[in-house]
Amino acid sequence: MIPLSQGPVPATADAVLVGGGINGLATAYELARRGLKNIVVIEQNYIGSGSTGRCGGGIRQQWTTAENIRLAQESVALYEKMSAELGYQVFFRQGGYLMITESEADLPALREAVALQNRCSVPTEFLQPAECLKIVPELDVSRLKGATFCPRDGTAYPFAVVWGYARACHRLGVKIFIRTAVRDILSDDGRVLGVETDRGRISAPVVVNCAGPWARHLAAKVGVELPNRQERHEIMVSESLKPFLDPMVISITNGIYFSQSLRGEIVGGIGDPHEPHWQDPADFDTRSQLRFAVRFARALIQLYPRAAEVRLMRQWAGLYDVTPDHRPILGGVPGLGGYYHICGFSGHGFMLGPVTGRRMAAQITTGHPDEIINSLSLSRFENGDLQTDAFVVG
Amino acid sequence: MNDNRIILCRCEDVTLRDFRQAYAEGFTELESLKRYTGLGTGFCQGKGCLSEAVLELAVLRDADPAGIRLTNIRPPAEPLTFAQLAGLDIPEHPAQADTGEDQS
Amino acid sequence: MAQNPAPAAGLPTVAITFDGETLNCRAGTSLAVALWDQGIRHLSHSHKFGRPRGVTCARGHCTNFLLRVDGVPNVRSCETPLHDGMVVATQDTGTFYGAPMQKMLALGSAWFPVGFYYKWFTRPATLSRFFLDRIRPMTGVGRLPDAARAARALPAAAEAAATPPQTDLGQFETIVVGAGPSGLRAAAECAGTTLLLDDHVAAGGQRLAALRELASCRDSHLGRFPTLAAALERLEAAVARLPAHDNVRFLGGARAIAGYHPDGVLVRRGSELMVARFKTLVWAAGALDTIGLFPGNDTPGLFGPRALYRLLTRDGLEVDGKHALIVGGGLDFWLSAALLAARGAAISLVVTEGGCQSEVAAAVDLKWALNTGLKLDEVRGNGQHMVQAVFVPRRNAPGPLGSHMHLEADLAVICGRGKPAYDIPYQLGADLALLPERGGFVPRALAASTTGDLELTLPGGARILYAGETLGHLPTDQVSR
Repeated sequence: MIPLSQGPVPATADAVLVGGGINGLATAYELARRGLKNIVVIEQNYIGSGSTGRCGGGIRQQWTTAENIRLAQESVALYEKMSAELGYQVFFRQGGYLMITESEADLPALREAVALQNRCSVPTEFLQPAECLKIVPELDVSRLKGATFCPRDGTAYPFAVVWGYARACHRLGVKIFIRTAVRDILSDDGRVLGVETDRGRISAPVVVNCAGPWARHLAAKVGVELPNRQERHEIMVSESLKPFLDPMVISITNGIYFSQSLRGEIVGGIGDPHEPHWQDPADFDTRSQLRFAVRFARALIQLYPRAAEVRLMRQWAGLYDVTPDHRPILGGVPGLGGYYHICGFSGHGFMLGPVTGRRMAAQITTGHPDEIINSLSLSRFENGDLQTDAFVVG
Repeated sequence: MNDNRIILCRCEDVTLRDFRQAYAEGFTELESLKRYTGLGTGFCQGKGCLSEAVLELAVLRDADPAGIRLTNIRPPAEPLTFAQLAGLDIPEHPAQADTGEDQS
Repeated sequence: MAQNPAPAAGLPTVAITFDGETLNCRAGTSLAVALWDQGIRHLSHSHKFGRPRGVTCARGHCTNFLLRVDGVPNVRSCETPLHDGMVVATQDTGTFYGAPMQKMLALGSAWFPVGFYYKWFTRPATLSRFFLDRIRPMTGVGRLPDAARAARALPAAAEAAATPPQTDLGQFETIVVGAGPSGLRAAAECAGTTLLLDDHVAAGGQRLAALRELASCRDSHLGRFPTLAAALERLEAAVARLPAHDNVRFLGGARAIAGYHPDGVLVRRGSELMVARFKTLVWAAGALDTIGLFPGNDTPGLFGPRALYRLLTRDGLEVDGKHALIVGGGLDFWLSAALLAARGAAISLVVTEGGCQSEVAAAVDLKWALNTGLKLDEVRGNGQHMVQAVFVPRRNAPGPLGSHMHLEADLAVICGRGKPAYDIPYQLGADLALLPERGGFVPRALAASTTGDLELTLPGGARILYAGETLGHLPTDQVSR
């Protein structure tokens, strides 16, 4: 992996991907694997510096719409083989996801979700509170009303995943530029012509907008109006301890989630209903808040008392690129040939990026329509064809 | 010099050679070097190694150290237990209305 | 361990259990120093190469000397006061790679290049999974705290959450972090409500504590070291002026440990956390010890001067009859030497920085072993008790030169140029850069400035005022100002 931080960008390319996170790199890799030459990835900072490198690394199949479940299943299948495929250890470990609730009112929805997931052959099971102790013996189940558990969900190390993709891209001849900003997307007469960067212009017939929280701003350059807004979400790691926690624990009641990384740290976060929404990159503020540390500490101790004297090591914040229905926006737009976007993952880009990258690359190279991409196109917001998933947490 | 016996980050046992090799492998940004080698992620959170790492990176890049972006120095400056943190009042969110009650 | 000497008769002692063995230790010291006094210097391993680790910064900054104390893992023993009945255990004596690998690593890590775990055992997928299963138990340091500890901690935490204790120190016109010379000077100039914090319990900072300790010793020879005597006098005068400022609240033993926008500064005093807000923050937190980059720079027994002061004044480290090697120059070099000598240590000096003619003359008078023209090349550990420093001649140095010079000592103090403290201003939004001539991370604006103090305005309107050693090294030595 030799990301280029200096020197001019090439004058022409067959495809330019804007964003060096999981979406840009996975899509570049899949395009290159399908034989596309002269692919360029442009990253404004360093690889994984946006939302990918700030996420918790969870990958789950427990969703409440058949389409989300299907995408997640494909993603898990990809992650299971990813280390071997990329020749790079991404530390994908299937410790399962334990989704818990403290509210009786959630139970019918949980049972329905389990039934739907089982129909899609996801091996989720419904657990009574006491049964959770078999999976996480130290959990305080006194306030729990029920839980669901899928043993094949898991976590991976986000940086290893993007490094693995970057190395594989490099082997396939993809050029990755870091510390390079895309200033504009060039278009004329309904076709994309390339991008203007701070290191020069690249002419390209295909431009893929994988810029995460900056995707809305970039799309606006070619008149594409994305409904996305950006939210700060905070996360922390603890000191590193010997393994004690297998699954990711996630509460649909207060939005706390935590797991233990392969380095032994507790990695976790909690959503905050008071966080503002932004649409202008000038407003983005990813400074850490004390408020998060205190709220997370209280929620963690309540659920997992043994962590009371474990130490928080550091905290940071990242941005979710949130759409009105919390589902990604994929595909192109009518009347602007060669422009595509892969954005709006609403906090789930790391778990879905590899599979959406694969499907998008197939569509870009073959032109065959893809039913999932079609159903996730931008036009769904105009048609009012929205499905929302009940399990948007964190 | 035997750079394999010079410890750059003693929390995570990163030697000077590790740092140089990681740079040669393409981890040319301090943030990437930090994640790849583990440098500065231990108990001291970089107090013992960050400036040494920036100086070494400046040598590797043949650049002015003042121009190298340092890694984000995340709070807190020393590890704190969750019990200690839980004992603090929850600061009000700046965006919160002044009557806003926190539910968590 | 080598010995278990009973503390001198008449002094209070506490009994602790260390890996199942009962030790009688001097009361009033930190766990790390209690163990050092018992001859136990090397207790934990670095988790990758299995290098010996001992007390180093004495400030809880480093990963060295982590122990399981009363059922809690990774306790920084250099900051943990002893109490009677304390149960202490070493943890994870195995290392990341295991013992046989560690032997190979000691020869050189060529077998395990950096990041090898990303590149090896990836194919086929089944091998990758097998590798992950094997690697996971090797990671992490220390086991989860005991259930009994959680049971004790939780009611307290629940109570704290239900009726929060007074954790809000309030809003101040100015918060001054560090009550050393520049912090005291800044506090004296403040008109509005001011909170003055120092890590040390008494105003004046760590260096004043060391100077006072030196002055109180019978054979202090303070009169022979005019720079030390003058520094003591100046600091005492600054401290004496403090009570006259009744707008200044001094909080000793309190450390600023995080800067949050817009909440202010998080302050820790013992195990208690508090929040304080400010309009102006005076950043006078001083500097951090720099050991430097040389082979063996992680050898137990190597200290910086600030760590030495804490060990000698706060913890009462026993050095009587020990052999101390002091390397470097400047005020801290001479203070370390004089203090160690006054506490009964035999002194070897290697002066690597010039100046202080009168001090050099005093060292000659006192018959301290004195070497010049040398550069530190390597430090080797020798079992649990000795460090051996290897020096090479400096280029262009005057005087007769051999090839290498080996100096042995029980402890070595490296008085390098300290690194300015930087973390809280960074967290509050200050734009920092590494300026090599300043010795560390300082505000970028200093690149174009040779003046003393510096004022920065943060996004949001709050101000940070840099003062003293946090500005890094100045053209003129302002340390003792």
